[in-house]
Amino acid sequence: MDLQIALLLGQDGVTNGAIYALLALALVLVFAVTRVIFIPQGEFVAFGALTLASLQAGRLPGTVWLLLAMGTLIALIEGAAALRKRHFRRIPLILLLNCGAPLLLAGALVAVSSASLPLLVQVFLALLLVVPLGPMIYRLAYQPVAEASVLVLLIVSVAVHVTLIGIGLLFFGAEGSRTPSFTEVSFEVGDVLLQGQTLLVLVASVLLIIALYFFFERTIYGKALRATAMNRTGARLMGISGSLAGMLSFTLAASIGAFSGILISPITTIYYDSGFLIGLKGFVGAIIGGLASYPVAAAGAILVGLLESYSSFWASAFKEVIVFTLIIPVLLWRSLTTRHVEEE
Amino acid sequence: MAGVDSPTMAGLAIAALFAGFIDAVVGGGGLIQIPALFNALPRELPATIFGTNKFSSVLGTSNAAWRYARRVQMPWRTTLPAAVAAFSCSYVGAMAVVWLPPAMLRPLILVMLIAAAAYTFWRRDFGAIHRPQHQGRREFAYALILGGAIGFYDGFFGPGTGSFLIFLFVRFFGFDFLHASAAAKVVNVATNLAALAFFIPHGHFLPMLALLMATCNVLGSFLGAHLALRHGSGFVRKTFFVRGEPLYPQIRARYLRLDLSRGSCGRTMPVCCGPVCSLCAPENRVGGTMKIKASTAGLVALLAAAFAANVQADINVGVTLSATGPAASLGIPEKNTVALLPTTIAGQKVNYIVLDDASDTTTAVKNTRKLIAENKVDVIIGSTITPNSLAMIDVVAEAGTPMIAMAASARIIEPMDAKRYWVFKTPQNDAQMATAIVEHMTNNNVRTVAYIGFADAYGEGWWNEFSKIAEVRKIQIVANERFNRADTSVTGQVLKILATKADAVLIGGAGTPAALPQKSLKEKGYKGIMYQTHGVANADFLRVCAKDCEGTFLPAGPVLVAAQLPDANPIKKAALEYVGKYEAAYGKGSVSTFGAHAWDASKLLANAVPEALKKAQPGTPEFRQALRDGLEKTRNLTAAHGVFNMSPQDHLGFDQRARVMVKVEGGSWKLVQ
Repeated sequence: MDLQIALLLGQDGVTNGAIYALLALALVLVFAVTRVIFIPQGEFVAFGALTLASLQAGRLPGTVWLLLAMGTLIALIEGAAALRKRHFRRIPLILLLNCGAPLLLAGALVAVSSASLPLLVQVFLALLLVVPLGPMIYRLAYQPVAEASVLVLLIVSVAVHVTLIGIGLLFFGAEGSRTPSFTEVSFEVGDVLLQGQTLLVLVASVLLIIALYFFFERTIYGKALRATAMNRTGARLMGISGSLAGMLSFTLAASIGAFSGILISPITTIYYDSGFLIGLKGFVGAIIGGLASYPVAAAGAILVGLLESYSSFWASAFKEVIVFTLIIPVLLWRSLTTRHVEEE
Repeated sequence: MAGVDSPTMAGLAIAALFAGFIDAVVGGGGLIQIPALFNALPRELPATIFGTNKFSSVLGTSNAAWRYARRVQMPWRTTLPAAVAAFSCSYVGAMAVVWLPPAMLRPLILVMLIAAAAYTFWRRDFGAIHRPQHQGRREFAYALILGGAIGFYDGFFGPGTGSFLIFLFVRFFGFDFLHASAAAKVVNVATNLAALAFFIPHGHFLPMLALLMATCNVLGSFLGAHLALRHGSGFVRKTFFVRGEPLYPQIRARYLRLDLSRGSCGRTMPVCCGPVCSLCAPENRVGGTMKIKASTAGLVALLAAAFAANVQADINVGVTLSATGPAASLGIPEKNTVALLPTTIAGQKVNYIVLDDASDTTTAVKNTRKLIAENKVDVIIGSTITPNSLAMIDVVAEAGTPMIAMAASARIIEPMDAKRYWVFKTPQNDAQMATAIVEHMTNNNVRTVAYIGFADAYGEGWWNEFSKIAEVRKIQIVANERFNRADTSVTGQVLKILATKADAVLIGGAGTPAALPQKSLKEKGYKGIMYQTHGVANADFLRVCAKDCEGTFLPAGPVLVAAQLPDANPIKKAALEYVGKYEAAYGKGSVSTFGAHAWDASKLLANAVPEALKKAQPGTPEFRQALRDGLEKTRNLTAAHGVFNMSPQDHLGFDQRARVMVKVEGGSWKLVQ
């Protein structure tokens, strides 16, 4: 292995690592706020990428139907609750938010041919279609059992994951898709050819991480999330709604997931079930951070990316083995160094 | 009662005992008895099993009803109209079995079970206090409607009637558990009598077994009713829900568990499962809510068996393929093709029972067993991938059922032995395809080759075949790399290949994932020749790979370039027929070579069935034997992928005509002359 190959591998590892880092951050965020180990995180990556691909192919993405169905279901549940409590004034808002908005979006998609839209609008539309699924899933699957144990929430996660995979196969089919590059620019650094798209992934990831930092440090909602993560009961006593915090963290997780999917879909082919493995690698990163520390999780994810890249060069058949074996020493180290706190 | 040995009898007797007990206490004993009967007597008609079951349970139920009636003040004003309505509707229901497909009911019962569970989950004071709700006319009307509805259900399908009745009496009439059980018993007797009135005259009845089971059932129900009466409503709840813990929250949890777990008895003799567990060992929580899947499987099995019996004289073709999971891109076109297969062969109706094995070996084996045991299929087509097909060989050989695999590896039919005697396949062997590639390489002066393949059976299989043949032809293999189907990057492997400066690269992957190494190689400036395998021969691969695949070579079945074949080639007509049919149904450009393997399997069948029909009736072992012999005698049969010439040693029978070299040119497949 000469320097050039080492550099190329490093660049590849950091690019993938950046995506894993984003997902690791989302996982840590969701776990800290809601105690949910969010296995379906990867599905948002796949849904985001495949929705964009469908839009570019001029097809109506299946996620529209998912959005409509889940919106209607939530409207029914919320509507029934409002009726029972005789809060009639809330009903129009509930309907508008959960049924009206998705309908409007679906109508718009049917009306204009999405293939001819500029790329940025397509990306925006794809995000608009996929991101609301996050809070909707929280409302339907997690909010009713929000106070349950971590194990129950994990089981719910597995169920949601399996359901989403099935829905993905139904909507997008078994074959993968790739979206055209955002940019065709490439740079020559020494002998190494740098693709513009890989740089874009890096820059976008870093920008997103910075934006998240400011969100948590400077905005009231970010602070509310941090408060909930530190002490749920205390935060509630201070007037921070637990379900609002849950919704918000799921919205963030879904946006991060969908955005990552859109970022990497020009570099690699995305399948309906690709998300799981990508999410799992983010999860390894999050585990390195103990599902608590954002910087360590991000660093861990980058490490996973690098490890993956170099091991694919040296021993491609054992790549996954090497990456996932990493988790064992990390867990050993963590369980030996941290004080064990019995949960519940 | 020929064919029922004493262990089976003993097992059925115990099942009947438990069923009687459960029936007397909370109802739903049929959910134990029917699966037990189905398991013990796989050869009987479902109607006979239902009849026998009904006879056994009617005695048990009447005994319990009588005992209840003596001890509890029976709410006759509600119960009688319900019973009358139930009687007439149950008879109608039993008749409806004949002309309604039971598969329609499957989703319905699931929804009902979940609804019942959900209801009990929310309702806290379930069945604790006896508080009759409706008065006079209203109660009468309710009784008629509910009795009628449940009666129809019982005659039609049956399982769960007892517990549904109790549930409805609690829900709509405000009865407590004890009164509800008593009333339910009376109505249940009525429905059972009605069903018997239908089954016995039609001869669906095994007298001796029915008597034995009835005796046990009565014993069980005697025990159950006795305990229930002695300990009152509390016992009924406690039996199922609690061990001295606060009652109400538990009721929700356990009642839910109870309803959902029952069907799980379907797969084995119900010695300890579902509600029985909660009875005999309260600590044993095996019958948990996780059994939903198992219970569905049990129901599906029951329905499938009931359905299969109605169509016994036809030829039954079992299909198991990978329509979901990693091999979905191969399995889906196959599934689509099965829908296009002829529904009659030589004047005989053909039924296709299609199951999905989710690309999973265990499921494939399970499907095979189910198709053989429950659907009594004459031949099995499947599975899509090699590991599944290999695992199925033992099962089909044991049952003496011919199998036609749609997976590529030669190991499925080689080396020929007593088990592979039953196994045939339609796709070309990997070796045939690998030879074509190596031939092309030698013709194009390729001296060094790098290989990169899937890190699974497909990539490994190709590596074995290819490296063997390449060695013989003096082609040097300079790299052997692996990647995963779901990988997002193969930079490492590609860099290593680039460093070897190989003349050509062979990518051993299937479907669109095989595009990733090729795109990476192009991106990094690789200039050599690239080869793919026939696993990529579908339109999606071209779509994903786009311009990076220009100039790629691959071996494929002639169906891929059917229109470009010379007219003299007999395969052209057969292949075009398939392409035309498929594209007419699923749209232009939708055809792939994988579906054609299913098409060819049916061609083989159509060729062998007429002879086999002369020798024996479908559904018999003789017919399956004759069908197998017929398949082996296939000569000069032109199909979409080639010309079959089978022999006792070769259960594929393809020659050089079954493969062509294809080049990707201008975004489409081009035949290399």
